[in-house]
Amino acid sequence: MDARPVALLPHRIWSVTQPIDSTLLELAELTRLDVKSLHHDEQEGLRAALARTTAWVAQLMAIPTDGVPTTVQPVVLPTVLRADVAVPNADSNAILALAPDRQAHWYRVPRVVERATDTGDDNAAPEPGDE
Amino acid sequence: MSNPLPYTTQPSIRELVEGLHRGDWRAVDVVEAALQRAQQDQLNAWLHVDAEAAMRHAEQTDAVRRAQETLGPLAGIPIGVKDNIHVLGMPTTCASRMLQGYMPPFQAAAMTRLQKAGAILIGKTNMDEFAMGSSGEFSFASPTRNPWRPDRAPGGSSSGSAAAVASSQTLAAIGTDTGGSVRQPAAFCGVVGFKPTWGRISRHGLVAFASSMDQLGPLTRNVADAALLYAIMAGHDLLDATTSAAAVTIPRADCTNALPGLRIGVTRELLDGVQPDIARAYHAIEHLLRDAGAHIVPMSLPMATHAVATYQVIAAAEASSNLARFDGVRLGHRTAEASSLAALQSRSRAEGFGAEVKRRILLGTWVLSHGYGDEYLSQAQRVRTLICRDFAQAFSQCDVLLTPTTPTTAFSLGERTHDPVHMYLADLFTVSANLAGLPAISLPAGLDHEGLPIGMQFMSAPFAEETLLAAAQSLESLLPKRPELHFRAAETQRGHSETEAGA
Repeated sequence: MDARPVALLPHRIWSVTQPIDSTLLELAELTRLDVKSLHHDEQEGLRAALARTTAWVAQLMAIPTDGVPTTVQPVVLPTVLRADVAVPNADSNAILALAPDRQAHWYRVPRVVERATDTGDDNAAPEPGDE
Repeated sequence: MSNPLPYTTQPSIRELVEGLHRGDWRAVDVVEAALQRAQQDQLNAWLHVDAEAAMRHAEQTDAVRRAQETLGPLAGIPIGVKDNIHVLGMPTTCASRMLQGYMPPFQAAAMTRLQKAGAILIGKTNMDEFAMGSSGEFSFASPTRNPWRPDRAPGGSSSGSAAAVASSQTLAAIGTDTGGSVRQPAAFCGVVGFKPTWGRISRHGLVAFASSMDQLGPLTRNVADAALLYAIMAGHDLLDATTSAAAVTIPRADCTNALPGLRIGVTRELLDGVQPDIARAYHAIEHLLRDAGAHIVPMSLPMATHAVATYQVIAAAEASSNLARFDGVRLGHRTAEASSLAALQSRSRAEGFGAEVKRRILLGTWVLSHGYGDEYLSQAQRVRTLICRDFAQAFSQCDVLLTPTTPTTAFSLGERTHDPVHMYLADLFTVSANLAGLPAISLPAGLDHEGLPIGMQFMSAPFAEETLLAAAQSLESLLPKRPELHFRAAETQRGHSETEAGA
C-alpha cells in the first residue's frame, strides 16, 4: 500500500507534539463553542482528546484512493413524490405553547440582529424580544 | 387476577399478545407490571416514565377488547422509547442539558405506527448524549448500569433501552443505531438488537446525529419480536424522503430452518485482538451453523480495519452540521448572560453540550473547514466507497456475514471515558453496516468467563432483511435457552439496590 505524500496532509493538523491552542480556539469560534469559559481541566481534556483522535484518523490518508468516487449516501433510493395536495399544518397554538417565551402569535427570542456599534459592547446585553 | 404477572414467565411479545387475547391477562395488568419494574429501576434505564398516560391507554385497550372490536398486533404491549425519538406528551432531552424540558410539538412517524398497532409507549429511555457514545456513560442525567453487573457499562448509545429489556422492565424498546448503538448495547446486555437497512424506517421525529447513517431499530428478547416491531415501523413515509418504498417482508415467526444451503461468510482477519472468549464463541457458532447445513464461506474485508476511523470522520462532520441548530435562540438551553449574539450562542452551546458532544462537534468542524482537516473528510468518503465495494463483493458470494458484535464483553464503567479512541473501537464490528447502509442484527450467543453476555452479528445486503432475520431466528433456535439470564439480571439489580441501601 502506497502512503500518500506527507505534503498532501492538511497544513494545520493537530498532533500531540504541536501546540494546538490556537487551532482549538479558531475552530471553537467557527462552531460557536465558548471553550475559553471552560475550566482549564476541561479545555485540556478537549485538547488531548482531539489531538489523539486526529492523529488516529490520519491512518486514512495512507489508503490509495486515486480515482475512487466519494460516497455521501450509502443506499440509492428512488424519489417518491407525494400528491400536490394541501394538508393542514400543525395547530399553531400547540406549537406556541412550547415556546420558551411568546408574544401573541410569535416566539420571543433574544435580539439576533445587531447594529455594528453593538459589537464588543459588553453593556449591550440582548433583551428578549428586542429585535 | 388469578394468573401470575406476565413478566415472571418471560413470554415473547407474541405469547403475551395471545395471552391478552385469551383473557389470561388484561392490558392494565401487563402495563402495571412494566411500570412497577420501571419505577423500581436501579439501573438508570429511564429518563421519563408516563405512568398515567400508559395506564389510560391500557384501560382503553381493555375496553376495546371487551367491546370485541378489532385490535392491532401490539395491543397492550408496553414499549420503551429512546429519548432522541419524539413521542407527543413526553419530553425529548437526548440525555442532554441542551434539551432539558423540551416538549416536541410533533411525534415520530415510527412511534405513530407502533401506537396504531396498539403498542403502549410507557416512557423514554436513557442514552449517551445525542446518541454519541458506546457505554451509556455520556448522559447528562446519570450513566446507565449493566443489569448483569452494575459496575459494567451497558453499552451505548441505546443504553437504557438495552438495560430495560435485559432486566425485564419491558419486553421491547426502540433504539437508534448510527454506528452500532442498537447492536452494541444489545450484545453487552444479552438481548437482541436489530438495525434495518438505511432508509427502511422513517426518521421523521428523530433528533438527527449523522443523517447518512442514523436508523431506528428494536431491542427485544428474541429475533421474532424484533422482526415484528420492524415490520410495523418500516415502510415509506411521506414525511421522510429518505425512506424506501420497497416491500417489507419478514420470515414466519416459527421459521427455524433457513440454515441448510445458506451461504454464510466468515472473516478471521478481524479477530486479532478480540477477547479470547468471544473468538472461541465465534468459532463455536461457525461449527454449529456448518453442522446445521450452512455453507461456510471464508471472506476478506480488507477495508474493515479502517471502518471506525472512517466512521468517526464522517459522523463528526454530520453531527457538527446537525447540531448547529442548537444555538440558544430558537430552542434548547440558553445561557443566563451574554453580551452579544455570538457570545449568547457560544456560551449556550458550551453550557448545554457535554464533553463527548463537544469533542465531536470540534472534530467535525475541523474536517469541514478548508485548510484544517477537509482533506480527511473527502478521503473518508472515498474509503467509504471502498468499504461499500468490499461488501458488494462479499454478498456476491454469500447470503449473510457472521461477525462478533463487539471485540469485548461489557467493560467497566469509567474505563474508557477519557480515551476516546479506545471507546470508539468498541464499535469495530458494527460501524461498517452503517457506512454501507446494511441491515444487521446482534443476538445473544453465550457468556464469557465472567458470566457476561457475548453477542454475535449477522449482516446482509441492503433490503435483504427477510434472509437476515430467518438466519438469525434459525441460529437462535439452536442455542440453549437461558431463562436464568433474565432472573439473574433481576437478582443482580436487587443486589445492587441492597448494596446502595447499605452504603
